[in-house]
Amino acid sequence: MSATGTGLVGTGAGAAQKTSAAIRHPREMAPILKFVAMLGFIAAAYLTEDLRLICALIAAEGLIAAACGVFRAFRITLIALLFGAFTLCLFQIFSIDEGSVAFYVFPFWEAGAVTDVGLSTCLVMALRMIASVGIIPLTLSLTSQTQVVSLVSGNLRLPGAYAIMLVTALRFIPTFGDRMRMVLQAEASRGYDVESRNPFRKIGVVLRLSLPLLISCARDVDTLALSIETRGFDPCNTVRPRRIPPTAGDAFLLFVCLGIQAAVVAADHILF
Amino acid sequence: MIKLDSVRFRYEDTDEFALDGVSLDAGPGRLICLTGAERSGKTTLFRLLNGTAPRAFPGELSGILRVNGSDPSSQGHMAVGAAVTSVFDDPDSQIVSLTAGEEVAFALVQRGLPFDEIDRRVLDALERVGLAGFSARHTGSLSGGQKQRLVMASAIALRPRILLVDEGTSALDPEGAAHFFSLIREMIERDGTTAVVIDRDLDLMLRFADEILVLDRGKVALSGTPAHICQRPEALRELGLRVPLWLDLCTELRERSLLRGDIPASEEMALAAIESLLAVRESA
Amino acid sequence: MIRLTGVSATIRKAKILHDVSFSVRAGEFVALVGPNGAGKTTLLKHLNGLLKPTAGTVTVCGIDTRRAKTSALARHVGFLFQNPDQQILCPTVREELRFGLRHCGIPKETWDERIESAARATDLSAKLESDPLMLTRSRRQRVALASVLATDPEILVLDEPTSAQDERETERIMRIARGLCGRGKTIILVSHDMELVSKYADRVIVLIDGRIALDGRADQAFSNGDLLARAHLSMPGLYRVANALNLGIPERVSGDIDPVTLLADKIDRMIRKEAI
Repeated sequence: MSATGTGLVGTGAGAAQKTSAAIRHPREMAPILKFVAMLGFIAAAYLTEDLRLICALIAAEGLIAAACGVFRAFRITLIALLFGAFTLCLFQIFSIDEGSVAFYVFPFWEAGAVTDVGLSTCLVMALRMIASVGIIPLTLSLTSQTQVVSLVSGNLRLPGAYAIMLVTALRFIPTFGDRMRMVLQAEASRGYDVESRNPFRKIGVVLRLSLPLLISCARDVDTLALSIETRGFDPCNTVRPRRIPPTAGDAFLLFVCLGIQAAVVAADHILF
Repeated sequence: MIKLDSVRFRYEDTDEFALDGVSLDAGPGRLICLTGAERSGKTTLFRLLNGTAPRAFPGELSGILRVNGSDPSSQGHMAVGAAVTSVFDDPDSQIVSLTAGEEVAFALVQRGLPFDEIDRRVLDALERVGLAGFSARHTGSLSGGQKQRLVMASAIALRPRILLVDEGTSALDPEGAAHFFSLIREMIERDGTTAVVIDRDLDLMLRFADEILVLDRGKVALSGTPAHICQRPEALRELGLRVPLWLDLCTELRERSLLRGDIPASEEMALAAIESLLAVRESA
Repeated sequence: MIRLTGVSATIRKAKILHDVSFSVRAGEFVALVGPNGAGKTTLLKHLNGLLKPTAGTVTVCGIDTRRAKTSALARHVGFLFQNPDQQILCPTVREELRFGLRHCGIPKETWDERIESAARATDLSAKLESDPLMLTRSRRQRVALASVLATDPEILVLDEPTSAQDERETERIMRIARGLCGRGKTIILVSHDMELVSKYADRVIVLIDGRIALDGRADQAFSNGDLLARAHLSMPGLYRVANALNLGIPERVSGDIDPVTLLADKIDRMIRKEAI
């Protein structure tokens, strides 16, 4: 598979492949099929109860990410989701009484009982969250703005403004990160200790420094709105989206994804 | 294309006029440069021309304002945007797309142009600003100068009748800034665009502009062709502008009665005049 | 005051600085110039510990920056960023000036005097109770500068302080910097504005692709057309005109000498056929 690298879909190169059965890079795939594949992963995560099979789903997502050259971003998402899932587990685990006690968090006082049912339920919940949420940024990283607009306006028949909102939000994530870094550097340069390892102090630092960040973002939002208006954007009018018809190769890739998902669900219901 | 006659504008809840009796007449295929110190009214004029004031910046407007034959303050943004393309001063807050190619294509898609035409214009525009091959680059990974060139590419792709640029060279090095102005001149010659460019570099403006307007506290303090502006270096300095050294030098030589006639309007002409002065003396 | 020895810096697997070494004495006004992407801002950030070198050492006021927090170095190195909005977070200008004093551990009894002095130097005395975010861009830059001046650091680092500023503001900031230099402070300036650099800097370091291409007097840098072309920098007007007319200029043209008068005198003498 190879990426065209132009960032524009629907060019002559894409059209030429329309009637071809050649498998194209998932970046070039018809967005509606990518969307279906994504929904399939989310559904499979919720239809599966077995830990090992949910891990297999996550592994499949990782393999897709690696094959498409976006494994680094996927890994970052995975780590972030692990923290989120772990936090969720901590809140949930003590509320489940069923099953026998596997261990106590405070053994001396026999307090904080964690049961085997509680442990497995929370682990399933955490992995399910990772599998179902992790596929979303992975799919978005393989979907260009043109494709998002084509999917939202063309296939789903929703107002194009929603697509623009989503894409703009994604585009500003790295900018937001850069701005936060710049603010931290500016305040550190004035003697404010932002390098403290104390987590509570770190939270305090971020909260305190959110003000300059929010103000600069608010200013940007105004200018952005004016800029896109002066370029003819009208949220009430949906522009004609670029058509990106699926190819036989796209259908094959979708079939492979759905096959993996179906196999996982079937294995769970038949074998376990 | 652009006509202002005694235009006054005061922002809501302020006492001072941001623009106080500004007049301007620019036909097609002209490059008008606007300059002046901070709070001189440059950005207000920019907003009036692209219709964002008083629509998004409420205030009281009087006088005659016509852009492409209509008053932008009474039109919707779609109608104004059909003829007028604006490049704002901060590129980071204008870029809406994830990749450079899509950013340039954004306005073309809004216009409903055929996609083949969009693709052609995108690649052509990126090449002209020196970003060839950047089509798939993430906009977040671009440097400040590259972002500024990207927003310029978006404007070039549109082939506007009227182009407004607010401080489009602040993040560019001197070479990039000169190239920026050359691109605008190309647009003027190719498409008959009328361009109004706000900048601070008097040297560049003298080189490229057809007309220069110097604003001071909302009024036009000085206006004219580069040749005319060059005759008033002291006035330019008092208005808070940096006067190029060659202009000051010619003024000094004229005061010493070494150089006669009008002060040359460009560095090349100034050097040529001084060289011929030295050559005449040498041969004498 | 500042010593860099064999400094290399790698950011996200890209080597930005390659074996950079130089020293700066107290009271020097050094301009760091070069094309976009040369590593100027990266180098600046090593001076107050925002970045640590991947190889080599950076010593500032006797402190090895690898072993010091940026907040600790702030007492010695004042950093003025290009965009003042990224640092403003207090409701009044006075609070903004107090912020740095508080976090640099400056004795409280000296705060008022320092605030008044910094406000006077930046012409903000009448604006001390104003909301800094409601001020114009140039005044906000002055607030940022005043906040740095209040802590009275030995070294002042200015990262493109005059971009998006008009000529009056530019001259104001540079006169303040020059004045500090005269009082023994060290100034490190990054700018694309070669007219400014030629007028105020004693020494110029040209950085190209993360390496020092030249480290010398301003006139050495600006009379080297090839170097300036490689660095995508414009030759200041004085040197450009002098080169074009084959006029020699003195080795050292300080900020006190009016370059226009200098050139006009030379041309005058040539015309009257006097010895140059």
